[in-house]
Amino acid sequence: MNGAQARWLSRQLGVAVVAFLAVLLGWRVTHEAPHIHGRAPAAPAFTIESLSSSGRVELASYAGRVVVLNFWASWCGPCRAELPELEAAWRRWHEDVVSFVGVDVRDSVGDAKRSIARAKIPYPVGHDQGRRVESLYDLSSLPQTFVIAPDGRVAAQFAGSFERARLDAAIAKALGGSGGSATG
Amino acid sequence: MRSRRYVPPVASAAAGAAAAAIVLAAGHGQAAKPVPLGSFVSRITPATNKAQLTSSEMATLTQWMTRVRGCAARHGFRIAAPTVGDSEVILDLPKASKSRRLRLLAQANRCAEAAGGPPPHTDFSFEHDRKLHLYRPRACLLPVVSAKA
Repeated sequence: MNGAQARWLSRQLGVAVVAFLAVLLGWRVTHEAPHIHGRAPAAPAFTIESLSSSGRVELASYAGRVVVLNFWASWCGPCRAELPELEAAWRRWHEDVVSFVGVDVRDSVGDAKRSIARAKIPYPVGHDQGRRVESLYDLSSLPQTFVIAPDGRVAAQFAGSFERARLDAAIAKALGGSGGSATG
Repeated sequence: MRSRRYVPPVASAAAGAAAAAIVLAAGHGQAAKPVPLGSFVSRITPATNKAQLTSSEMATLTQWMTRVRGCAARHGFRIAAPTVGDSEVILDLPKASKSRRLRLLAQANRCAEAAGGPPPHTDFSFEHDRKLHLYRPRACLLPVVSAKA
């Protein structure tokens, strides 16, 4: 191989590498997945007794919608502190295809019902009898909030109180990047 | 070679793009494999459970710790003035024998009750560094419960 051939070959290789990187970059820019959607785990299904009405709360009944799943307890100060923020988030999003569901864990039914009435929680809340749902979601602290995409996969998770902007962004991404009707 | 040098390197670009497509397709197949929920979730530990305080919260917490300190002093336990961190207010207890430290902690608890209890949404605790900490927890920590199959 003479010098000219070597230069030609290196130029062709350079072009190939640039094309390779350009395609990868282009894919990443145009297909930025919401959080780690695609690799995300499926949200475990559950059915529990409702605290806010008669009947049951069944996660599967929200299939095809974005679900904001909030784990809390009436004795947990940070949980009580974030209830107004959750209620505000519900107001911003409930007219979109977004459902809010509360799961009360490690709590007495009476205390939980009083908290629900006092905070005027507008969305369904169920009681996790026997820590079954807590175990399914591998909780280590309260409050904890999961955003579940319409395909049933976990799109985002917030341990502790969430920040409004981050929750809104997670919901918007789970909705497919439409941005929904969040008004802040 | 002259003619090759001036031919637009379309074939090379196409080869590079095709290689990228293969990599993406392979990666996409792997990405579809879900990760276990337990490894997906972020966790709060005792070390990360202290929320950032606003200046107003900091003032409230410092004022309350100062009241506890004053109460302890009236009962014969001298404690240094509270110190302020990013996310907590701390009372550094003086070096003392174990029994005196226990009496001091008991008195600090009585003083905390006399001061109306810790401010809303805060925790007042004695930690491994042998100091009294007042902070706003981000979460209530639960004993870990392993997921059942």
